[in-house]
Amino acid sequence: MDFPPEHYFQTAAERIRQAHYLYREGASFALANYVGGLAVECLLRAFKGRHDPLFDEKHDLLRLFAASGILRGDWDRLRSRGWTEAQINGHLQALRGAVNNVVKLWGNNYRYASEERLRSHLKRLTGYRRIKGDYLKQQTRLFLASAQTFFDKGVVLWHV
Amino acid sequence: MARLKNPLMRKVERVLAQEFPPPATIRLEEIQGIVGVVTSERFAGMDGVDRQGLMADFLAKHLSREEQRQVQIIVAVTPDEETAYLAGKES
Repeated sequence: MDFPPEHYFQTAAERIRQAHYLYREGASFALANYVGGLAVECLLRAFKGRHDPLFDEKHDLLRLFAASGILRGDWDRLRSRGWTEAQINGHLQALRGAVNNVVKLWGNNYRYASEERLRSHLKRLTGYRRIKGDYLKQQTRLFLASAQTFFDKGVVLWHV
Repeated sequence: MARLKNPLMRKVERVLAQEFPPPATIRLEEIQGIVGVVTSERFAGMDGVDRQGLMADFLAKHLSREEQRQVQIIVAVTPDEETAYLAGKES
């Protein structure tokens, strides 16, 4: 199947919503993590697909981020809508921060991970400290917050 | 790491190496600009936003505005995070 950029964009919106649903209603934290990262990947593919339909980056979100051209937007159009330089820089910096969080915490192989396996993986990865409640749930909430930030900032740039 | 052809990449690598000496590692690539990963224990306990703030401040200190525009993103990770990232992207 071939997917045009608009389809990837639409799917990104579906996946981020589904990730939150899995977290909130399904208590399926491992799957919520995977789907949240998938939402980011879909949005990056949407951006890349606008200028290049070939995806050599596979599931490498960092390379896909670079190849997507998401940071090569038409800033003059934002300026013409009243955005200041500080607002534009702040927007891009928030996008980079979210990508840093997503890249360090997400793997395409999470789709194979059970709740317990991902819990122990994230404990090792994040310098586990004992918390009240489920550590995987807490980490998933933080991850989805970053994925959502990336999505929100990306949507603004998509419509520029 | 492989020898970098782009003069700006060499400059970025040089200034990053001053700030993040071994055992930290630096990997840079050119994909519509410069993209890279710095791996260091120094990032442990830091949020991604803080890590990118640190990188932005550091690059602003050493690069001109035009040079900064050529840097898309330098992701900051700990050694454990890098191992997981490399495993995850290849599956």
